[in-house]
Amino acid sequence: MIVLNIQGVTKSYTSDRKCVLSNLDFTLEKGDICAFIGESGTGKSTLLKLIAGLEASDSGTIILEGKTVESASKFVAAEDRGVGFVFQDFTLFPHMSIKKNVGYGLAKSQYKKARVSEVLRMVGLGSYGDRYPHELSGGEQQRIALARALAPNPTLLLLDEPFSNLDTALKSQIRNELFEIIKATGVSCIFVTHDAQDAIALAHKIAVLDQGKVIQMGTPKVLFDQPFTPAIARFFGEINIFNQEDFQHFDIELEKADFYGIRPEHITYSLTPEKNRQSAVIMGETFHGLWRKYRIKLSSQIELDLMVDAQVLMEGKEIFITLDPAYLLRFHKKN
Amino acid sequence: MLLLGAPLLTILLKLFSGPGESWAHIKEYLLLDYLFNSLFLMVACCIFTLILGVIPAWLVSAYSFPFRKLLQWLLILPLAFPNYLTAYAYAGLFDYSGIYERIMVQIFNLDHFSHIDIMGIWGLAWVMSFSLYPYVYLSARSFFSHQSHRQMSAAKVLGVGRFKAFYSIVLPLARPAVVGGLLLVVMEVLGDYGSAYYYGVSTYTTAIFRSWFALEEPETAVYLSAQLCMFILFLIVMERSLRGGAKYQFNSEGSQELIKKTPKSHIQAIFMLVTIIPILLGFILPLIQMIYWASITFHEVWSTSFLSIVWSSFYFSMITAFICICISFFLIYAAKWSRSLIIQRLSTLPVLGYAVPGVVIAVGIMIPTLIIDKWLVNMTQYYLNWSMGFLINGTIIGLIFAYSVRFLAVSYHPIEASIQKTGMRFEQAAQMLGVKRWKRMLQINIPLNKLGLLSGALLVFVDTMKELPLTLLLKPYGIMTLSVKAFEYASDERIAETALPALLIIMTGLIPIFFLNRMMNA
Repeated sequence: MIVLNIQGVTKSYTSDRKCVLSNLDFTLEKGDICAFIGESGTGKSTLLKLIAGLEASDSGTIILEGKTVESASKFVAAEDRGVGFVFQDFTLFPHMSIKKNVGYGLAKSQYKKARVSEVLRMVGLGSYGDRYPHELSGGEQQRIALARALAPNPTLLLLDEPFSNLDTALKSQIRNELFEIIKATGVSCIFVTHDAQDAIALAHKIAVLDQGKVIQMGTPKVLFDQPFTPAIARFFGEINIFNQEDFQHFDIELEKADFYGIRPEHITYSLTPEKNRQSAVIMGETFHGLWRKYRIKLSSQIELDLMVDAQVLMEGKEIFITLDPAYLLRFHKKN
Repeated sequence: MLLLGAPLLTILLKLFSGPGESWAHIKEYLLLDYLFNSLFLMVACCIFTLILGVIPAWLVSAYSFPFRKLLQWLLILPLAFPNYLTAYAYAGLFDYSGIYERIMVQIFNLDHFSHIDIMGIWGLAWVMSFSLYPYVYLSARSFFSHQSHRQMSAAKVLGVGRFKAFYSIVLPLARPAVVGGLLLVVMEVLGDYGSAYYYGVSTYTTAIFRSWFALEEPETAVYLSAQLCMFILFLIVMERSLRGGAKYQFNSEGSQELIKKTPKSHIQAIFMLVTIIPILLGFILPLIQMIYWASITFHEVWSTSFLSIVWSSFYFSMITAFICICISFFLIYAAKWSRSLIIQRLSTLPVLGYAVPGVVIAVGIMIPTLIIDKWLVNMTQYYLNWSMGFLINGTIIGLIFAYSVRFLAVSYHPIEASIQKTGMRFEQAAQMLGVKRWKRMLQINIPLNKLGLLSGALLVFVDTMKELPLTLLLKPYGIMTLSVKAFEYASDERIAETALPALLIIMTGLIPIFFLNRMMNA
């Protein structure tokens, strides 16, 4: 069942007249978790605000659970859409206790108290009801923000850069805990992030936004293994890109493409000459903790990055490399 | 918005319909005098307040010396004194039986050669400057303390001394802030009636009163008001365009507090003295005079009728404060919510009310409301056969309406600053929880902005307590406020009796100063 259907949504801001979202189409199935990724300013947060109803689009239609919430003739206000939203800075009401924060979106009823306790227990903070937001750590505040958004049983949950305010050390732990909770509730969810690792770890599908358009959408594995463009490939990690002319030097039989790419860790090398391997010289080294990255120069003057996990290679040393066709990515120019 | 803008619009439209019969006489014999006096006071006060405001502001921001923190906030205290009360106090201090004369005669044995006649235009400029310099001081201090750190550091690493860096770098950069403060001084000087009237100096404002009451010619009063209004609007536009041409960029790092230098001890003593002078002459001396007068006239003034005057003042001020914060909050909220640029721009228009002198607003309110009142009387007479009195003119409703038009800006700015600081995020968070607009306003926006609302209300409350010319023109018959009572005592040459109402106004005025200081230090 489709929870969210976006058709041809366009949005630009009057201040600079720049088109933030351009004729965007998107659907989300019930129970799916989708991540929107992209550089800053690609329209990720704007898209969330349009779905939530915090901003109006210039044109296009947004349908939530079969009901049109925005079209040329209709605009349903944010408070009437039944969408949950976790803000980047959590935005807990500082003058309200935790239980008041969590229960704020619930209508007065005999079940309100029980529901507040239930969601607080669900996020593992059952005893925090009487505290105030400033008494909580960043991770705890985030869980409360999630509990508050989940309390009214939203049809769709939106999270805006949910991990950007957390310490790196805590991030992966909180990230996994949070999404376990979301998965347990079965709520459909969209989150935006600029961190590809968050998207890979948590989402069922990822949509890459660039200049207001979805340029590729698919499972994390598809996006990692078969990115449409060098830019998408770069988003998921470092990559060496070469054009057709440079690629011919490697003498590899591969379907024709405009550009080819290989990640630095997928280049195979040896210290002695082997068949079908090209000679290269170490130009420089960058230390990356467990990994070392080497800039190498081939006899054909092509420069590449090579990622090595164990061996230390000296600058000026000659090595012999080959590109495994299984790891080679092919890109075509846009028509 | 239309209601709030109506008085201004009325006044400006009158510019085209021409003055009354006595205009020719005024133009021939008096106008030059009014113009000269008003301009002289304006220029003199700007020069004096510039010196009195900028120098202490720089000293307390850039140097460390004994009692600096205390002096820093004592320097704001003259704000609690409405300038007409400072003028009364100074008249007493330099009177033949005043403290100055007594010291000169009894202690230094100097006779009449020492007498200073303060009751003139120079005296008025002096008195007003000591009463108004805090406007310049506050804007300059705020700039020096929080925005000049980086520039001073840059000058320091280039080997430039502190004094040279001050006049060659910091002072030019502070120009927009200082000019903003001076503009407030000019507005106060041009809007003043009580001091100029008592010191016998004819200004534009006293001329408006004279045309209205003595010549009984409202058309001329309105015409003069329109000219004054145009001049002030011209000054505002000038200031904006000057500021527009000097868009200095300050980043958040620049908001660090300036590191204070500790000079040698004799220099510290001089700095202390320099900062004490404005406090002494602007606050302590007039206060001592008022306390002395209050002690000798307490039994004469203090009565049940006096208590009812106190109550009226408090009552009007409270209602005005409440109305102003409600309207300000609503306007800012509507502008935030509205997607229409026109509404966003229009919502800031009523704020111009503060730039217009009280007397101009009073005149501007009388004309349209008189038409409405007359229409209402005729209608009720015709349809209901009931003869009702005026609903707005000469009633409390009219007075409070005029106060609200005048002081809306006073509450608008702190509330706007507070709402801007809170932003829309809490509002949006509540919206996403399905909460309706009115509930969001009551349960989220008002509690989160209560400090802004409170400071807005307090400032309006105090300004309403102090307001004189507007109250004089619009107060209902038989109702008295503290400011009008003080004015009446002074006009009856019972100057000592002004002290008790004056002290009550001053004491009320001190409350927001404590707040203001705490906010500036926060």
